[in-house]
Amino acid sequence: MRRLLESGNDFLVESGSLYVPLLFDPAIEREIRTIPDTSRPQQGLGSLLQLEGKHFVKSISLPSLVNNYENINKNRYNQLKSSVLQKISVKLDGGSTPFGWKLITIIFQIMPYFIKTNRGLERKKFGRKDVLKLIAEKVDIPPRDYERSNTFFDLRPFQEALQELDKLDTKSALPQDGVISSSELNNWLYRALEAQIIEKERFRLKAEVLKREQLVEAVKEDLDILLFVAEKGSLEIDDFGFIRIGKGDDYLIYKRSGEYILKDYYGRSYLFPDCRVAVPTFNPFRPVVMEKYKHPFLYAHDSGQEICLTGFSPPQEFSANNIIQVLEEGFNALLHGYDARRRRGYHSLDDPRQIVKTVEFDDYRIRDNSS
Amino acid sequence: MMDAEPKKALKTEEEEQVLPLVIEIMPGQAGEGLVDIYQPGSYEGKPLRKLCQNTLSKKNLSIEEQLILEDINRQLNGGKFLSRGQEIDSMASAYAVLEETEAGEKYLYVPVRAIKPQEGGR
Repeated sequence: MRRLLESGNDFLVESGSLYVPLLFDPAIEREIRTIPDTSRPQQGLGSLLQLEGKHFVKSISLPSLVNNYENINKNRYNQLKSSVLQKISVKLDGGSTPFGWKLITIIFQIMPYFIKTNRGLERKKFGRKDVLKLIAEKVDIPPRDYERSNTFFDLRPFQEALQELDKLDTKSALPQDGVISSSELNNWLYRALEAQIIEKERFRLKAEVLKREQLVEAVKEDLDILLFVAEKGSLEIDDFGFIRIGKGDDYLIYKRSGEYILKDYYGRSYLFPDCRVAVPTFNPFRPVVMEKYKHPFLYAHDSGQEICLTGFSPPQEFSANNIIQVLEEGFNALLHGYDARRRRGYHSLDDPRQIVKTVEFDDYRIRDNSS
Repeated sequence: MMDAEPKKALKTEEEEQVLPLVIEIMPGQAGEGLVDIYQPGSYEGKPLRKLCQNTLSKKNLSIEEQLILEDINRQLNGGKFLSRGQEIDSMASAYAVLEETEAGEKYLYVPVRAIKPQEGGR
Protein backbone atom coordinates (compact mmCIF):
# COMPACT_ATOMS: atom_id res chain seq x y z
CA MET A 1 0.00 0.00 0.00
CA ARG A 2 2.81 2.34 0.93
CA ARG A 3 4.49 1.78 -2.44
CA LEU A 4 1.23 2.59 -4.17
CA LEU A 5 0.81 5.84 -2.26
CA GLU A 6 4.40 6.91 -2.87
CA SER A 7 4.59 5.73 -6.48
CA GLY A 8 4.22 9.14 -8.14
CA ASN A 9 1.67 7.62 -10.53
CA ASP A 10 -1.73 8.96 -11.44
CA PHE A 11 -4.79 6.92 -10.64
CA LEU A 12 -8.41 7.10 -11.52
CA VAL A 13 -11.29 7.34 -9.03
CA GLU A 14 -14.68 6.14 -10.11
CA SER A 15 -17.66 5.71 -7.74
CA GLY A 16 -15.51 5.32 -4.65
CA SER A 17 -13.19 2.76 -6.25
CA LEU A 18 -9.54 3.29 -7.06
CA TYR A 19 -8.41 2.28 -10.54
CA VAL A 20 -4.67 1.76 -10.99
CA PRO A 21 -2.75 2.00 -14.32
CA LEU A 22 -2.85 -1.26 -16.19
CA LEU A 23 0.44 -2.78 -17.20
CA PHE A 24 0.46 -3.13 -20.91
CA ASP A 25 1.87 -6.03 -22.86
CA PRO A 26 0.65 -7.98 -25.91
CA ALA A 27 -1.18 -10.56 -23.82
CA ILE A 28 -3.08 -7.92 -21.91
CA GLU A 29 -3.83 -6.04 -25.11
CA ARG A 30 -5.39 -9.20 -26.59
CA GLU A 31 -7.46 -9.65 -23.45
CA ILE A 32 -8.67 -6.06 -23.51
CA ARG A 33 -9.85 -6.40 -27.07
CA THR A 34 -12.28 -9.12 -26.01
CA ILE A 35 -13.93 -6.70 -23.57
CA PRO A 36 -16.59 -4.39 -24.98
CA ASP A 37 -16.15 -0.61 -25.06
CA THR A 38 -13.96 0.64 -22.20
CA SER A 39 -13.38 4.08 -23.66
CA ARG A 40 -16.08 5.80 -21.66
CA PRO A 41 -15.17 6.18 -17.99
CA GLN A 42 -18.61 7.62 -17.24
CA GLN A 43 -20.12 4.17 -17.59
CA GLY A 44 -17.71 2.94 -14.97
CA LEU A 45 -19.33 -0.39 -14.21
CA GLY A 46 -16.64 -2.76 -15.39
CA SER A 47 -13.22 -3.53 -14.02
CA LEU A 48 -11.42 -1.69 -16.80
CA LEU A 49 -11.57 1.97 -17.75
CA GLN A 50 -9.82 3.89 -20.46
CA LEU A 51 -8.95 7.54 -20.21
CA GLU A 52 -6.85 9.49 -22.66
CA GLY A 53 -5.60 6.28 -24.18
CA LYS A 54 -4.50 4.79 -20.87
CA HIS A 55 -6.12 1.75 -19.36
CA PHE A 56 -6.92 1.53 -15.66
CA VAL A 57 -7.96 -1.57 -13.74
CA LYS A 58 -10.23 -1.56 -10.71
CA SER A 59 -8.29 -2.27 -7.50
CA ILE A 60 -9.67 -1.30 -4.12
CA SER A 61 -12.69 0.39 -2.62
CA LEU A 62 -11.61 3.62 -0.93
CA PRO A 63 -14.10 3.45 2.01
CA SER A 64 -12.92 -0.11 2.61
CA LEU A 65 -9.29 1.07 2.56
CA VAL A 66 -10.08 3.61 5.29
CA ASN A 67 -12.07 1.14 7.38
CA ASN A 68 -9.34 -1.50 7.28
CA TYR A 69 -6.24 0.66 7.32
CA GLU A 70 -5.58 -0.14 10.97
CA ASN A 71 -5.02 -3.76 9.97
CA ILE A 72 -3.21 -2.96 6.72
CA ASN A 73 -0.53 -0.73 8.27
CA LYS A 74 -0.78 -0.83 12.04
CA ASN A 75 2.37 1.18 12.70
CA ARG A 76 1.40 4.09 10.49
CA TYR A 77 -2.14 4.04 11.83
CA ASN A 78 -0.90 4.16 15.44
CA GLN A 79 1.50 7.02 14.64
CA LEU A 80 -1.34 8.92 13.07
CA LYS A 81 -3.62 8.14 15.99
CA SER A 82 -1.19 9.46 18.58
CA SER A 83 -0.59 12.64 16.58
CA VAL A 84 -4.34 13.19 16.22
CA LEU A 85 -5.02 12.56 19.92
CA GLN A 86 -2.26 14.96 20.91
CA LYS A 87 -4.57 17.69 19.69
CA ILE A 88 -6.72 17.05 22.75
CA SER A 89 -5.16 19.00 25.58
CA VAL A 90 -7.11 17.21 28.34
CA LYS A 91 -5.10 14.40 29.89
CA LEU A 92 -7.06 11.27 30.65
CA ASP A 93 -5.21 9.10 33.13
CA GLY A 94 -8.19 6.83 33.79
CA GLY A 95 -8.27 7.54 37.50
CA SER A 96 -5.66 6.72 40.11
CA THR A 97 -7.28 3.41 41.04
CA PRO A 98 -7.97 0.69 38.51
CA PHE A 99 -11.56 0.00 39.32
CA GLY A 100 -13.78 -1.81 36.90
CA TRP A 101 -16.45 -4.36 36.28
CA LYS A 102 -14.11 -7.32 36.62
CA LEU A 103 -13.37 -6.39 40.22
CA ILE A 104 -17.09 -5.91 40.91
CA THR A 105 -17.82 -9.31 39.33
CA ILE A 106 -15.14 -10.99 41.44
CA ILE A 107 -16.32 -9.45 44.69
CA PHE A 108 -20.07 -9.82 44.27
CA GLN A 109 -20.45 -12.88 42.06
CA ILE A 110 -17.40 -15.13 42.23
CA MET A 111 -16.28 -14.73 45.83
CA PRO A 112 -19.69 -15.53 47.39
CA TYR A 113 -19.71 -18.88 45.58
CA PHE A 114 -16.55 -20.09 47.30
CA ILE A 115 -17.06 -18.66 50.78
CA LYS A 116 -18.94 -20.27 53.60
CA THR A 117 -20.75 -17.74 55.72
CA ASN A 118 -23.62 -19.63 57.28
CA ARG A 119 -23.43 -21.96 60.18
CA GLY A 120 -26.16 -23.63 62.10
CA LEU A 121 -29.46 -25.01 60.98
CA GLU A 122 -30.60 -22.07 58.88
CA ARG A 123 -29.17 -20.64 55.71
CA LYS A 124 -29.42 -16.94 55.01
CA LYS A 125 -28.93 -15.38 51.62
CA PHE A 126 -25.40 -14.06 51.10
CA GLY A 127 -26.22 -10.72 49.56
CA ARG A 128 -24.29 -7.65 48.55
CA LYS A 129 -24.37 -6.10 52.01
CA ASP A 130 -23.18 -9.36 53.57
CA VAL A 131 -20.21 -9.50 51.18
CA LEU A 132 -19.17 -5.96 52.10
CA LYS A 133 -19.68 -6.65 55.78
CA LEU A 134 -17.50 -9.73 55.50
CA ILE A 135 -14.72 -7.78 53.76
CA ALA A 136 -14.93 -5.06 56.40
CA GLU A 137 -14.64 -7.69 59.14
CA LYS A 138 -11.72 -9.51 57.57
CA VAL A 139 -9.72 -6.57 56.24
CA ASP A 140 -8.49 -3.68 58.29
CA ILE A 141 -9.66 -0.67 56.31
CA PRO A 142 -7.93 2.53 57.38
CA PRO A 143 -10.12 5.63 57.70
CA ARG A 144 -9.84 7.62 54.52
CA ASP A 145 -12.21 9.43 52.30
CA TYR A 146 -11.65 7.47 49.12
CA GLU A 147 -14.64 8.92 47.39
CA ARG A 148 -13.30 12.42 47.38
CA SER A 149 -9.66 11.60 46.76
CA ASN A 150 -10.22 9.18 43.93
CA THR A 151 -10.20 10.53 40.40
CA PHE A 152 -11.91 7.50 38.90
CA PHE A 153 -15.30 9.03 39.51
CA ASP A 154 -14.43 12.47 38.20
CA LEU A 155 -15.94 12.52 34.73
CA ARG A 156 -15.11 16.14 33.93
CA PRO A 157 -11.85 15.37 32.04
CA PHE A 158 -13.80 13.03 29.78
CA GLN A 159 -16.47 15.60 29.14
CA GLU A 160 -13.86 18.26 28.36
CA ALA A 161 -12.08 15.90 25.99
CA LEU A 162 -15.36 15.19 24.24
CA GLN A 163 -15.96 18.92 23.82
CA GLU A 164 -12.51 19.32 22.25
CA LEU A 165 -13.15 16.41 19.91
CA ASP A 166 -16.42 17.99 18.83
CA LYS A 167 -14.48 21.05 17.66
CA LEU A 168 -12.30 18.97 15.33
CA ASP A 169 -13.30 18.54 11.73
CA THR A 170 -14.48 15.05 10.91
CA LYS A 171 -15.90 15.68 7.47
CA SER A 172 -14.32 13.50 4.88
CA ALA A 173 -15.94 13.04 1.48
CA LEU A 174 -14.72 10.59 -1.11
CA PRO A 175 -12.46 12.08 -3.82
CA GLN A 176 -14.24 13.28 -6.91
CA ASP A 177 -14.37 10.93 -9.87
CA GLY A 178 -11.48 11.45 -12.23
CA VAL A 179 -7.70 11.44 -12.19
CA ILE A 180 -5.96 11.67 -8.82
CA SER A 181 -2.21 11.80 -8.22
CA SER A 182 -0.53 9.61 -5.61
CA SER A 183 0.18 12.64 -3.39
CA GLU A 184 -3.46 13.77 -3.61
CA LEU A 185 -4.56 10.24 -2.76
CA ASN A 186 -2.14 10.20 0.17
CA ASN A 187 -3.52 13.49 1.49
CA TRP A 188 -7.08 12.34 1.11
CA LEU A 189 -6.29 9.09 2.96
CA TYR A 190 -4.65 11.01 5.80
CA ARG A 191 -7.70 13.27 6.25
CA ALA A 192 -10.09 10.32 6.05
CA LEU A 193 -8.12 8.39 8.66
CA GLU A 194 -7.91 11.46 10.88
CA ALA A 195 -11.69 11.85 10.73
CA GLN A 196 -12.15 8.17 11.47
CA ILE A 197 -9.79 8.27 14.47
CA ILE A 198 -11.61 11.30 15.92
CA GLU A 199 -14.96 9.58 15.43
CA LYS A 200 -13.70 6.38 17.08
CA GLU A 201 -12.20 8.28 20.01
CA ARG A 202 -15.45 10.18 20.49
CA PHE A 203 -17.35 6.90 20.55
CA ARG A 204 -14.84 5.36 22.97
CA LEU A 205 -14.98 8.30 25.38
CA LYS A 206 -18.78 8.35 25.37
CA ALA A 207 -18.81 4.61 26.12
CA GLU A 208 -16.24 5.13 28.91
CA VAL A 209 -18.30 7.92 30.47
CA LEU A 210 -21.42 5.75 30.33
CA LYS A 211 -19.55 2.79 31.81
CA ARG A 212 -18.21 4.84 34.69
CA GLU A 213 -21.58 6.44 35.35
CA GLN A 214 -23.15 2.99 35.56
CA LEU A 215 -20.34 1.75 37.79
CA VAL A 216 -20.66 4.70 40.14
CA GLU A 217 -24.41 4.13 40.29
CA ALA A 218 -23.88 0.43 41.06
CA VAL A 219 -21.41 0.90 43.89
CA LYS A 220 -22.01 4.38 45.27
CA GLU A 221 -23.13 3.17 48.69
CA ASP A 222 -20.14 0.89 49.14
CA LEU A 223 -17.42 3.07 47.74
CA ASP A 224 -15.02 3.22 50.64
CA ILE A 225 -14.63 -0.55 50.98
CA LEU A 226 -14.51 -1.21 47.25
CA LEU A 227 -12.01 1.55 46.57
CA PHE A 228 -9.81 0.27 49.34
CA VAL A 229 -9.83 -3.19 47.78
CA ALA A 230 -9.27 -1.71 44.31
CA GLU A 231 -6.33 0.34 45.50
CA LYS A 232 -4.82 -2.57 47.41
CA GLY A 233 -5.27 -4.84 44.38
CA SER A 234 -5.60 -8.04 46.35
CA LEU A 235 -7.82 -9.71 48.89
CA GLU A 236 -7.97 -13.13 50.51
CA ILE A 237 -10.83 -14.40 52.61
CA ASP A 238 -11.27 -17.99 53.74
CA ASP A 239 -8.93 -19.52 51.16
CA PHE A 240 -10.42 -17.54 48.29
CA GLY A 241 -8.57 -14.55 46.92
CA PHE A 242 -7.46 -12.48 43.99
CA ILE A 243 -4.44 -10.44 43.07
CA ARG A 244 -4.14 -7.73 40.43
CA ILE A 245 -1.97 -8.28 37.38
CA GLY A 246 -0.49 -5.12 35.92
CA LYS A 247 -2.14 -1.74 36.37
CA GLY A 248 -5.55 -2.35 34.87
CA ASP A 249 -8.69 -4.22 35.82
CA ASP A 250 -7.19 -7.70 35.43
CA TYR A 251 -6.64 -10.24 38.17
CA LEU A 252 -5.56 -13.75 39.04
CA ILE A 253 -8.44 -15.28 40.97
CA TYR A 254 -7.46 -18.18 43.18
CA LYS A 255 -8.57 -20.66 45.76
CA ARG A 256 -6.29 -22.47 48.14
CA SER A 257 -6.30 -26.25 48.01
CA GLY A 258 -5.18 -26.89 51.57
CA GLU A 259 -3.14 -30.04 52.13
CA TYR A 260 -4.52 -33.13 50.44
CA ILE A 261 -3.65 -36.76 49.94
CA LEU A 262 -3.28 -38.75 46.71
CA LYS A 263 -2.74 -42.49 46.61
CA ASP A 264 -0.54 -44.47 44.27
CA TYR A 265 -1.12 -47.83 42.63
CA TYR A 266 -0.17 -49.68 45.81
CA GLY A 267 -2.45 -47.60 48.03
CA ARG A 268 0.40 -45.62 49.54
CA SER A 269 -0.49 -42.08 50.52
CA TYR A 270 1.28 -38.90 49.40
CA LEU A 271 0.65 -35.65 51.23
CA PHE A 272 0.59 -32.66 48.90
CA PRO A 273 1.14 -29.18 50.33
CA ASP A 274 -1.29 -26.29 50.02
CA CYS A 275 -1.27 -24.38 46.76
CA ARG A 276 -3.30 -21.69 45.03
CA VAL A 277 -5.21 -22.83 41.96
CA ALA A 278 -5.82 -19.73 39.90
CA VAL A 279 -7.41 -18.48 36.72
CA PRO A 280 -6.71 -15.13 35.05
CA THR A 281 -9.48 -12.71 34.09
CA PHE A 282 -8.25 -12.65 30.50
CA ASN A 283 -7.72 -15.16 27.74
CA PRO A 284 -6.57 -17.95 27.90
CA PHE A 285 -8.88 -18.92 30.73
CA ARG A 286 -6.92 -21.95 31.92
CA PRO A 287 -6.23 -23.04 35.50
CA VAL A 288 -2.69 -22.61 36.80
CA VAL A 289 -0.91 -23.26 40.09
CA MET A 290 0.62 -20.07 41.45
CA GLU A 291 3.26 -21.56 43.72
CA LYS A 292 6.37 -23.49 42.83
CA TYR A 293 4.67 -26.84 42.87
CA LYS A 294 4.86 -30.40 41.63
CA HIS A 295 2.03 -32.74 40.77
CA PRO A 296 1.46 -35.49 38.19
CA PHE A 297 -0.52 -32.99 36.09
CA LEU A 298 2.18 -30.30 36.12
CA TYR A 299 5.05 -30.51 33.67
CA ALA A 300 7.85 -29.43 35.97
CA HIS A 301 8.53 -28.38 39.55
CA ASP A 302 7.96 -24.69 38.98
CA SER A 303 5.60 -21.79 39.61
CA GLY A 304 2.79 -20.54 37.38
CA GLN A 305 2.29 -23.86 35.60
CA GLU A 306 -0.87 -24.68 33.71
CA ILE A 307 -2.70 -27.77 34.96
CA CYS A 308 -2.87 -30.44 32.29
CA LEU A 309 -6.53 -31.36 31.73
CA THR A 310 -8.06 -33.93 29.42
CA GLY A 311 -10.80 -32.75 27.08
CA PHE A 312 -10.98 -29.28 28.58
CA SER A 313 -12.23 -26.47 26.37
CA PRO A 314 -11.48 -23.13 28.02
CA PRO A 315 -14.21 -20.48 27.83
CA GLN A 316 -13.60 -17.52 25.56
CA GLU A 317 -14.86 -14.67 27.69
CA PHE A 318 -14.78 -13.39 31.24
CA SER A 319 -17.88 -14.06 33.30
CA ALA A 320 -18.49 -15.20 36.87
CA ASN A 321 -19.78 -18.59 35.76
CA ASN A 322 -16.85 -19.20 33.43
CA ILE A 323 -14.28 -18.33 36.10
CA ILE A 324 -16.00 -20.54 38.69
CA GLN A 325 -16.12 -23.39 36.18
CA VAL A 326 -12.42 -23.12 35.29
CA LEU A 327 -11.37 -22.94 38.95
CA GLU A 328 -13.53 -26.00 39.69
CA GLU A 329 -11.97 -27.92 36.80
CA GLY A 330 -8.45 -27.14 37.95
CA PHE A 331 -9.26 -27.98 41.53
CA ASN A 332 -11.05 -31.19 40.71
CA ALA A 333 -8.15 -32.33 38.54
CA LEU A 334 -5.51 -31.62 41.16
CA LEU A 335 -7.36 -33.11 44.12
CA HIS A 336 -9.53 -35.78 42.55
CA GLY A 337 -8.35 -36.38 38.99
CA TYR A 338 -5.30 -38.59 39.50
CA ASP A 339 -6.00 -42.19 38.59
CA ALA A 340 -3.55 -44.43 40.42
CA ARG A 341 -4.16 -47.34 38.04
CA ARG A 342 -3.97 -45.53 34.72
CA ARG A 343 -1.26 -43.12 35.90
CA ARG A 344 -2.15 -40.50 33.33
CA GLY A 345 -0.36 -37.17 33.45
CA TYR A 346 3.15 -35.91 32.90
CA HIS A 347 4.36 -37.95 35.85
CA SER A 348 3.11 -40.74 38.05
CA LEU A 349 3.48 -41.08 41.77
CA ASP A 350 5.08 -44.51 41.56
CA ASP A 351 5.54 -45.70 37.98
CA PRO A 352 8.35 -48.28 38.03
CA ARG A 353 8.64 -48.14 34.21
CA GLN A 354 9.91 -44.58 34.28
CA ILE A 355 13.67 -44.89 34.12
CA VAL A 356 14.49 -41.19 34.18
CA LYS A 357 12.23 -39.29 36.52
CA THR A 358 12.20 -35.54 36.09
CA VAL A 359 9.88 -35.01 39.05
CA GLU A 360 9.92 -37.23 42.14
CA PHE A 361 7.15 -37.50 44.72
CA ASP A 362 8.94 -39.69 47.23
CA ASP A 363 9.38 -36.78 49.64
CA TYR A 364 5.59 -36.41 49.81
CA ARG A 365 5.03 -40.04 50.74
CA ILE A 366 3.55 -40.65 54.16
CA ARG A 367 5.62 -43.37 55.73
CA ASP A 368 4.28 -45.74 58.29
CA ASN A 369 6.65 -45.46 61.25
CA SER A 370 5.71 -48.90 62.54
CA SER A 371 7.13 -50.68 59.47
CA MET B 1 -5.89 -30.31 55.61
CA MET B 2 -8.39 -32.31 53.68
CA ASP B 3 -9.02 -35.33 55.88
CA ALA B 4 -8.14 -38.69 54.48
CA GLU B 5 -10.07 -40.52 57.18
CA PRO B 6 -13.52 -39.58 58.41
CA LYS B 7 -13.54 -38.17 61.89
CA LYS B 8 -15.99 -39.50 64.35
CA ALA B 9 -16.63 -36.65 66.66
CA LEU B 10 -19.51 -38.14 68.54
CA LYS B 11 -18.89 -38.06 72.20
CA THR B 12 -21.44 -40.60 73.32
CA GLU B 13 -24.08 -42.86 72.02
CA GLU B 14 -26.53 -40.65 73.86
CA GLU B 15 -25.71 -37.60 71.71
CA GLU B 16 -26.26 -39.61 68.57
CA GLN B 17 -29.74 -40.46 69.71
CA VAL B 18 -30.96 -37.01 70.55
CA LEU B 19 -29.26 -34.63 68.14
CA PRO B 20 -30.54 -33.58 64.75
CA LEU B 21 -28.33 -34.33 61.78
CA VAL B 22 -27.60 -31.55 59.30
CA ILE B 23 -26.41 -32.64 55.88
CA GLU B 24 -25.05 -30.03 53.50
CA ILE B 25 -24.44 -31.12 49.92
CA MET B 26 -22.14 -28.69 48.12
CA PRO B 27 -21.51 -28.64 44.38
CA GLY B 28 -17.79 -28.82 43.57
CA GLN B 29 -15.78 -26.32 45.59
CA ALA B 30 -18.75 -24.13 46.50
CA GLY B 31 -18.71 -22.66 49.97
CA GLU B 32 -22.33 -23.45 50.61
CA GLY B 33 -24.81 -26.04 49.45
CA LEU B 34 -28.16 -27.63 49.87
CA VAL B 35 -28.99 -28.13 53.54
CA ASP B 36 -31.28 -30.78 54.95
CA ILE B 37 -32.10 -31.52 58.56
CA TYR B 38 -32.88 -35.01 59.80
CA GLN B 39 -34.52 -35.15 63.17
CA PRO B 40 -33.37 -37.70 65.77
CA GLY B 41 -34.82 -41.07 64.95
CA SER B 42 -34.96 -40.45 61.22
CA TYR B 43 -31.35 -41.00 60.20
CA GLU B 44 -29.79 -43.52 62.58
CA GLY B 45 -28.50 -46.65 60.88
CA LYS B 46 -28.96 -45.19 57.43
CA PRO B 47 -26.10 -44.89 54.97
CA LEU B 48 -25.08 -41.33 54.18
CA ARG B 49 -25.53 -41.98 50.47
CA LYS B 50 -29.18 -42.86 51.02
CA LEU B 51 -29.77 -39.67 53.02
CA CYS B 52 -28.09 -37.59 50.29
CA GLN B 53 -30.33 -39.15 47.66
CA ASN B 54 -33.37 -38.34 49.82
CA THR B 55 -32.22 -34.74 50.10
CA LEU B 56 -31.68 -34.37 46.38
CA SER B 57 -35.10 -35.81 45.57
CA LYS B 58 -36.94 -33.18 47.58
CA LYS B 59 -39.49 -31.21 45.60
CA ASN B 60 -40.28 -28.14 47.69
CA LEU B 61 -37.09 -26.20 46.93
CA SER B 62 -36.73 -22.45 46.70
CA ILE B 63 -35.33 -20.89 43.51
CA GLU B 64 -31.89 -20.50 45.12
CA GLU B 65 -31.95 -24.13 46.23
CA GLN B 66 -33.00 -25.24 42.76
CA LEU B 67 -29.96 -23.46 41.30
CA ILE B 68 -27.69 -25.23 43.77
CA LEU B 69 -29.40 -28.53 42.94
CA GLU B 70 -28.71 -27.94 39.25
CA ASP B 71 -25.03 -27.37 40.06
CA ILE B 72 -24.95 -30.53 42.17
CA ASN B 73 -26.57 -32.61 39.43
CA ARG B 74 -24.11 -31.20 36.91
CA GLN B 75 -21.23 -32.38 39.09
CA LEU B 76 -22.87 -35.75 39.73
CA ASN B 77 -23.16 -36.39 36.01
CA GLY B 78 -20.06 -38.59 35.96
CA GLY B 79 -19.12 -37.48 39.45
CA LYS B 80 -19.46 -38.75 42.99
CA PHE B 81 -20.21 -37.78 46.58
CA LEU B 82 -17.24 -37.12 48.84
CA SER B 83 -17.23 -36.35 52.51
CA ARG B 84 -14.00 -35.50 54.27
CA GLY B 85 -12.03 -36.69 51.26
CA GLN B 86 -13.69 -40.11 51.08
CA GLU B 87 -16.55 -41.66 49.22
CA ILE B 88 -19.66 -41.96 51.37
CA ASP B 89 -20.14 -45.67 51.86
CA SER B 90 -20.68 -45.69 55.65
CA MET B 91 -23.43 -44.61 58.01
CA ALA B 92 -24.07 -40.88 58.21
CA SER B 93 -22.88 -40.69 61.82
CA ALA B 94 -19.41 -41.85 60.75
CA TYR B 95 -18.84 -38.53 58.96
CA ALA B 96 -20.56 -36.25 61.46
CA VAL B 97 -18.98 -33.66 63.69
CA LEU B 98 -20.63 -31.93 66.57
CA GLU B 99 -21.50 -28.28 65.98
CA GLU B 100 -23.49 -25.68 67.81
CA THR B 101 -25.72 -22.83 66.67
CA GLU B 102 -25.27 -19.30 68.00
CA ALA B 103 -28.17 -20.02 70.31
CA GLY B 104 -26.29 -22.99 71.74
CA GLU B 105 -28.30 -25.74 70.07
CA LYS B 106 -26.13 -28.76 69.34
CA TYR B 107 -26.39 -30.70 66.11
CA LEU B 108 -24.41 -33.14 64.03
CA TYR B 109 -23.03 -31.75 60.80
CA VAL B 110 -22.02 -33.70 57.72
CA PRO B 111 -20.53 -31.79 54.77
CA VAL B 112 -20.80 -33.65 51.48
CA ARG B 113 -19.33 -32.51 48.19
CA ALA B 114 -20.63 -33.50 44.77
CA ILE B 115 -17.45 -33.69 42.72
CA LYS B 116 -16.97 -34.48 39.09
CA PRO B 117 -13.32 -35.48 38.90
CA GLN B 118 -11.72 -33.64 36.02
CA GLU B 119 -9.43 -36.13 34.42
CA GLY B 120 -6.00 -34.68 34.11
CA GLY B 121 -3.02 -35.64 32.08
CA ARG B 122 -2.32 -36.28 28.48
